[in-house]
Amino acid sequence: MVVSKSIIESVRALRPLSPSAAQLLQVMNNPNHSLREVVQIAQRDAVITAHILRVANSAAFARRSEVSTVEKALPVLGERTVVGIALGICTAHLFNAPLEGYAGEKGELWRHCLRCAIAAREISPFAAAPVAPELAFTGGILHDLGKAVISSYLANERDKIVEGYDGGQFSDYLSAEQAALGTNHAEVGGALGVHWNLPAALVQVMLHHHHPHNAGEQARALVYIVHLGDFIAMMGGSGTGTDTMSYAIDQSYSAYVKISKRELERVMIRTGDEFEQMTSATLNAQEGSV
Amino acid sequence: MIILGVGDFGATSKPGEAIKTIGLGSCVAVIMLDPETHTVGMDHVALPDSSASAERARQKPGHFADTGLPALLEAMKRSGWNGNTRRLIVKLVGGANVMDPNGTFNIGKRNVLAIKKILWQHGMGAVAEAVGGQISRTVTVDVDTGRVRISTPGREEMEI
Ligand SMILES: [Fe+2]
Ligand SMILES: [Fe+2]
Repeated sequence: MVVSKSIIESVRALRPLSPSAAQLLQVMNNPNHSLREVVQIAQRDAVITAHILRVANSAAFARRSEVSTVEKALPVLGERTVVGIALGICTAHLFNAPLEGYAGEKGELWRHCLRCAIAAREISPFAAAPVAPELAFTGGILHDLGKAVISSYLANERDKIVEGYDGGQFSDYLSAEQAALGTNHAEVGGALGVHWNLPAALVQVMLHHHHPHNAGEQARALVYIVHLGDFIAMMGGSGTGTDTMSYAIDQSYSAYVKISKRELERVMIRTGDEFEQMTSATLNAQEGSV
Repeated sequence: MIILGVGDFGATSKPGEAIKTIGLGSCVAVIMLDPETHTVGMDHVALPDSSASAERARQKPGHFADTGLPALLEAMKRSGWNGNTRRLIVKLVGGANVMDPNGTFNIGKRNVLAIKKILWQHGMGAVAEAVGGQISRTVTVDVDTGRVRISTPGREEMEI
């Protein structure tokens, strides 16, 4: 289809990730990385440093004395927040676009992805095979960025898509997008991940988060974790608009993630708590960065 | 406008006032109306059972169906309802469900069931509901009219 081609092409015109964000992602992808490496990358980037210090000194993380260096801020914020901030800065233009194609409000995509990221990290200890919690978090942040690209193309089709979905024409919202445009936000997200030279596992997350069984074996457990994190985010009230809750859970998730009802309920409580603590701080970083 | 977050509950009979909760996923808004005193109340229930976290139930009883409903009834009394359950109109909104064959992620459905069970124990039942399905819902209840309005992104507003 012609439309799908031009959408994928438009991905290539997007600005690349900043070098420091790319480096942070690479470092976090290595389970044996040290905190020092993260500090060093963040310190070299003035914009990231400024945001980290602002968040560390914001109300949500307030300490008695002012945090004045990245080195001191890191233990306060935790690595995942630092990487989230770094990613947030160079993806702010994408996260901050209103999602017309989903009738979503400005900031909703960011909140959905942040909540998914926290949930994915909380779910990761329940994986059948070990998955680094930080990687799960990063995967959550990135998983739906394809929506930012595809949204404007969906805008004219939106009412038709919603009507078709509500009328039971499609098994999930992804198929509805596919029928309207010849592509969908996961495929477009995957193309974006490739354009950004992201680690292969993260590209797999973006590409397969709605159908994790299609992910390559190496990344599959991670993709399942983000898949479940996505549901936890939507269930908890952080969706992106017309498509919220309109996806199917991959029935074989229990082979990759072993979690009981009670454990899931506690994950939901913890996710909600941390989400609320983080939103004020990181959203400010988002808004200040464009 | 009183806006309730997850686990919050509240009631009011103040003219012109309204209670709203935004973006219900698997959470359920339990809405109570007393037509005689124009008292309206709402609880934003997130989970079925407080045994998941006693600590959370202490901080925010509204978070769970079993602790939230009694708390909401108390709030209704403080706002003017006389305690006669037969006078109360109950409506339920939310509880969008994930079809999980393992029965783990179907929290929307479990929330609705837990709420109905507790209502039944209090001799009450819901007269109207917009629950389940696979959409998110925002709901508002007005003191003056008692109208319960529901909106979902990209869909027309509805009333129950
Ligand atoms: Fe998605
Ligand atoms: Fe998502």
